[in-house]
Amino acid sequence: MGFFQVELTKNVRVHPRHFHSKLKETLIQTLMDEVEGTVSGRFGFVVSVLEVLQPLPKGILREGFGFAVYPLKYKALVFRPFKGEVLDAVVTNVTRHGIFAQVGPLTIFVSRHQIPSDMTHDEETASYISVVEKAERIQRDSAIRLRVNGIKIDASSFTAVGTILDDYLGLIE
Amino acid sequence: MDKRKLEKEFLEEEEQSQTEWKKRRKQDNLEQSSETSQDDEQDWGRQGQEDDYEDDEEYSEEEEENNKEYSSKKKKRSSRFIELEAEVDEEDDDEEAEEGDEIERELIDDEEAEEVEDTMASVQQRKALLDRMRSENPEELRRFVRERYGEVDDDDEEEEEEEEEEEVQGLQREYIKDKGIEQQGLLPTVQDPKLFLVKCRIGREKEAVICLLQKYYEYNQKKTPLDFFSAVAPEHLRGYVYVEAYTADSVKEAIDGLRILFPSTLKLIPIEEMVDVLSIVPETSQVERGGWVRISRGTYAGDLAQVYDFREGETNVTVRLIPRLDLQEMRNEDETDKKRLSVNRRPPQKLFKREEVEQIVGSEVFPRRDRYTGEVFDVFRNENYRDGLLYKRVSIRNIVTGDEVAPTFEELEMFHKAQRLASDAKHVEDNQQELEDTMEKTLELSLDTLSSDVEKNMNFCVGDSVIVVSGDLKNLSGRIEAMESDNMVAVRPDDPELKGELIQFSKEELKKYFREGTHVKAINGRHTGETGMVVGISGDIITVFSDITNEEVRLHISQLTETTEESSSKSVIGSFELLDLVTLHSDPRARGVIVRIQRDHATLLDTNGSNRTVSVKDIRSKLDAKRAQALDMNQKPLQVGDMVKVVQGVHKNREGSIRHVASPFVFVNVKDEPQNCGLIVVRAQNCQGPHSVHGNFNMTGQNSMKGATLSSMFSLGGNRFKTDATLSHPVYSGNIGKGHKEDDKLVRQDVLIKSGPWKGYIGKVVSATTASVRVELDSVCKTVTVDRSRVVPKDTAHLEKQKQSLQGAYTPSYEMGSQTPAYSGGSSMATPLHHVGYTPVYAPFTPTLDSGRRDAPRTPIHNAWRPTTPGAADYSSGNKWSDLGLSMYSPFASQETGLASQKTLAENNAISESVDDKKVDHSLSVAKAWIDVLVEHKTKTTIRGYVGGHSPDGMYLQIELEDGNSGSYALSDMQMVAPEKSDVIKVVDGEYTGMKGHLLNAEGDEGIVQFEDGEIKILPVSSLGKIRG
Repeated sequence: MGFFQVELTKNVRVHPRHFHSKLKETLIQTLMDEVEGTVSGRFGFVVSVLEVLQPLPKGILREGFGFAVYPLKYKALVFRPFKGEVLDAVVTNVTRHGIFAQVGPLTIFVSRHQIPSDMTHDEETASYISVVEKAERIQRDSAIRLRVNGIKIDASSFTAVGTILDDYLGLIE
Repeated sequence: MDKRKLEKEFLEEEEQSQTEWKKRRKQDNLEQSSETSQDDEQDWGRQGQEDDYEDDEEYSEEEEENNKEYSSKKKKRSSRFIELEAEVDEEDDDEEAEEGDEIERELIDDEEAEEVEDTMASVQQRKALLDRMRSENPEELRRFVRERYGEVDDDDEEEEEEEEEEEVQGLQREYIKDKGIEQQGLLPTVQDPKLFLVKCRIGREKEAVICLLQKYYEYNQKKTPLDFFSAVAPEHLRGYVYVEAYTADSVKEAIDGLRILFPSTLKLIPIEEMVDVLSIVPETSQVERGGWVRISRGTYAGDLAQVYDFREGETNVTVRLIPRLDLQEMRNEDETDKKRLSVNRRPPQKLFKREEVEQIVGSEVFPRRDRYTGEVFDVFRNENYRDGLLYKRVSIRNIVTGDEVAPTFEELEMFHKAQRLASDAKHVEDNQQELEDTMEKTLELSLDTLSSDVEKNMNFCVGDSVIVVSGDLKNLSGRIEAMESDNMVAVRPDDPELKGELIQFSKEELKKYFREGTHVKAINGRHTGETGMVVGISGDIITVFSDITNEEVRLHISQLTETTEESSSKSVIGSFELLDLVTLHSDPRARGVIVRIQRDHATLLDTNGSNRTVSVKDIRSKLDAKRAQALDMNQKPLQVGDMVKVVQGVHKNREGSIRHVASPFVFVNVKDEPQNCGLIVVRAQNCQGPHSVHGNFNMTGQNSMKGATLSSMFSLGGNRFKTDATLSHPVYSGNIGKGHKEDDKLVRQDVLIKSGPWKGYIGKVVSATTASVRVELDSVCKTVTVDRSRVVPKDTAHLEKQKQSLQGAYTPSYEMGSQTPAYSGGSSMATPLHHVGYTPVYAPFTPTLDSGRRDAPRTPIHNAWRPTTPGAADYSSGNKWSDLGLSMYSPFASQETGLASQKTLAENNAISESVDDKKVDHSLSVAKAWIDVLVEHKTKTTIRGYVGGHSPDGMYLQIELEDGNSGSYALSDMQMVAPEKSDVIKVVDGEYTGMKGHLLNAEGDEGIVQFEDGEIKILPVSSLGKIRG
C-alpha cells in the first residue's frame, strides 16, 4: 500500500478568540480538522497529521479580519495509490458493468472487461460467480486483490480503475 | 427538377422580365417588340457610350485568345445590329473549335441564369426557341441560336460584360443540350435588382408566382407596367416566394391585392445570400438502402434508423428502427377510454416482442402481407413490425443523413440484437430467409463501412500513442513527436533501445494505441468532449469508463485521444448543463436532472427514478435551489452537499452526497452507481442525513471534514431548532406546488408591512395567496399587493422589532464569532447563531440578498413570526410532530438559546448589547432543564461533568467536573453528552421537559425512553440528557 510520510504546509486561520495560552492546541486541532481526510492532488489522501513541526511559526494578522494566519509545517501520513500497484480492496457494489471496490478512501472500478471471462455476472445475487467453481463468487464485502490500471486525479478526489485479470488477482480468502 | 418543369419556370421568369428586356432591346430579329417608349430612346443613348467604355476594358483584359479578334472587331463596329452576321460567323468558328474546353466553363449557376434571363429574349422568343428545339435538328438549332444570340454585349453590368456574354452562350448551349442549368461566375452586385422574400400561404407558392405573372401582363396591357423582374417559388422552400425588384415599393405594388401573399413580411435578401437563394445544391441523396439515418421529429426524434426501402425520386422512405412502445400505458389507455395519461413521456427503446405485446396489451398483433412488396409484417396499431424492429414510412424531410448520423456502437448493438432475433426466427419462416440474408448483409456492411470510414481519418495529434500496423517495424509502439507534412509523422519509439531516434511514418502505417487505464477523451462523434478511462480493448473498439456519466461507452480508436484533462468537460445543451436540475414546459411539476445530452435532446432522471428524454425546447428552467431543503427520516433538514445514507427502499444502504434537492426528493451522487451519471433519486424521508447520524446536540465535529461545507454547517440546526426547519418546509413546498391551508390565516388580520415602498404601513389583509397578500391600508384609502414575506401580523410586529434591534449585534458575531468554530470542527455553538442570527433575520433585513434568492418565498420571516402566533400548534407541521410522538419544541426556546449564546459571544467580543429580559428568562429555562445533566465542553472534551446549578440569568452553568472540582462555564460553550442505551436520562426539551426515565434503546437520533411511570415514548436523543443513575 502506498503510504507515505510527507512534509506539508498549511495556512491555518485562527480567530482572535483563541489568542490565549491554549493557542497552540487550538492551532493543531484546527490543522487536523482541516487537513485530515482531504485529498491533495499530488500527495493523495491525507490520512493523519503525524507531527506539527516545532517551533510553530509566528502568525500573521490578516488586516480587516482580526484572524491570524499560521503557516504550519507538518508531517502527514498520506495514502497515494499508483498506477500498476496491487491493492487489496473490499467490494462495495457489484453491477453488470463491473465491480466497485474500496481501498480505504479510494474507490476503484473494475470493469467487466477486466474480470476474468470465466466469471459471470449474476443479477439476482449481485455478484460475479466463477463458472468453474460455483463457490467462488465476488459480491458485496468480498475481499479482492486488484491491480490499479489507471488513476484520475481531481483537485479533490481520486478515482481509479483496476483489473483482476491477471495471475494471483481476484478473490482472496 | 425535370426538364419540363425547368422549361416552365424559365418561361415564367422570362415573361416577367420581358419589359426589362424590351428596354434594352429595341429591335429584334425574330420578333418585333410591340412597345417602344421614350425611356428606351434615352436608354439607348446612354448605352451607346457605355459600349465604348466596355470594349476598352475587354480589350485590356484579353481574357481569351480566341476571342481577341472578335473583340477588336466588335470594338470597331458602330452598332451591334449592323455587323451582326459577320461577327456571328467568326465567332461561330471559334466557338466550334473550343467547344470542348468551354463546356466546363459554361456550367453556370441557376442563379445567374436568372440574371442572364433578364437580359434575354422575351417570352415569345423563348417559345419560338422551344418550338424549334423540339422540331429542328440540333445543327440548325445551333445556328439559329448563334444568329439569335450571337452577341449580347450591351448590358448594365459593365465589368461583367465579357463573362456575361460567354455565359449567355453557355446557357444557350445548355439549353440545346437539354442539360440542367448550372452556371458559375457571376455574382450579383449592388447595381443589380434585389431579391425580396415574401411570405406566402403554405402550399400556394406556385400559384402566387402565376398570379404575379398574370398581374404583370395585365398591368402591361394597361400601360402601367409593374416594376419587378421576376418571381420565383423554389421547390424546397415552403411558404415563401422570392420577388426580384429594385425597391421594396415595387414589390409591394406587385403583391398588392394578392391575398395569398403577405406584404407585411417583406424581407430583403442580403446581397451575399442571394446566390444561396437560387443555387441548387446538386442533390446527392445520401439515402441509400441499408444506410443509417436519424429521425428528426416525433417520438423517435434522434433515434438511429436504417433505411429499408427507398426509391429514387420518392419523398418517403421506409426505415426500420427500434420501437418505443409503452405497453403499460397502452393498456391503461384502453381501460381509461384512450385517455392520454402522460403526454410527453418518451418510452425507452425496446425490441418488439409479439408475445409480450399480446400478453400486456391484448391480442392486437396480427400478421399481414404488404400489398406492394409482398412482405409479411406483424401489424400492431397500424404499424409494421418484424423481428423486433419497427418498419416505418417517414418523409425524407424528417430524417437526418450524412455525417451527423454517427451511429454509436450501443445503438448498433440494438440492431444486432434484432438481427439475431431475426436469424432465430428464420428457421420458422423460410420464405423470409432470402430477404433476411440480404438485410443482414447490409447490416454488416454498414457496420464495416462505419468503422472503415472513421479509420480513414485517424485524427492523429502530437502526443498520441501509436503502434505501427504495417511494414518491417510492425508492432512498434511510440509517441507522436511531430506532424511532419501532410501524411508524415515523426514517432519516438517507446523501446528504450531506440531511444532518441525519431522515426518517420506515413499515417497509414500507424494506428492509435491505447492501454488499459489510459485517460482518454473523445474528440468526435456523439460523445465529443467526454473523458474517461480505458477499461477494455477489443480490436479498434475501446471501452471507456466515462468520468462524468459513470457509464461505459464504446468508441472507435480514431475517436479518442489521450488526455490529461482532469475535470471532464461538461456537456451543454442550450443554456443547460449536464447535472442541472430542471423543470419542463410540458410538465411543470416534474423535476429532473439532466443525465445525458444528445444533439437536441436531453435525458432526465426524474423524481420517479425513471429516465425521460425531452427536447431542449421543452426544458423550461434550471432550478438552482442551493438552499432548498428537504427533511430526512428524522425530520432533519437536508441540503445540497450533505452526505446521506439511504436507509429504506431500493437504494438501501447506499451513501453519497446530495447533488440536488427537489423536495420531497433528493438526488444523491453515489460513487458506485453505474448509470445516470452516478445519480440516484430517493425520497428524502428514506435518507439519513449527517445531522441524524450523530446525536445532534452533541455534534462534536465528527462529521466528515469533506462533507462539512458551510452549507451543511448552516443546517447543523439540531433538534432544538428543528421547528425552524420544519416550518420553513411547508411554506417552501407550498410555493412550488399548490397552495396550502395556511394561506388564509392572514386574511382579515391586521398586519404591518415591513419593507418595500409601503414599509411601516398597517392594514388589514383582504386576500392572500402563497406569494402575496392584498392589504387594505389603514391610513391611506388604498389596497396594495405586497409580497407575503413583507408583512407581519401586527400583534407580533413588536417581536420583529426586537430582532431587528438585535441584528446589529448579530452580524459582526456571525461573521467572526461563529464562523470559526463552525469551520474548526462543527461545534454546535455556532449553530444557534446561524439559525437565530442568520436565517430568520438574514433575508428580511437584507432585501437585496433576499430578492436575489430563488427560494425567496420561503423567507424565514415566516418562521420568525409564526412560532409566536397563538395558533402555532395548529400548523400542519406541528400536528405532524405530535402525531409522530415527538415533542413539540417551543420555537421560543430555540431562539432563546441562540440569544443566550449570542450574548455570551457578544460579551466575548466586547460587543455590548442589551438583551430583552424575557429572552433571558428562556435561556434560563434551558439552563434549568440542564440541571443534573452530564455535559461537556464543546471544544475541550476533558471538561465534562454534571450540571450543578446556573447563574441567575442562565448564561453560566455551575459544573461539577468529573475530577471532583467544579467550575463555571458559559452555557453556550457546553453541550450535552449523548446518553447511551440503558442510561438514566432526563428530558431537557419539549413537552416532557424535566421528566426522567431510562433510555431503552437509541437508533440514529431517536431514542426509546421509558419514563419513571412506565410510559414509553420515542424522543429525539438530542433532547435527552444523561443524568446520574
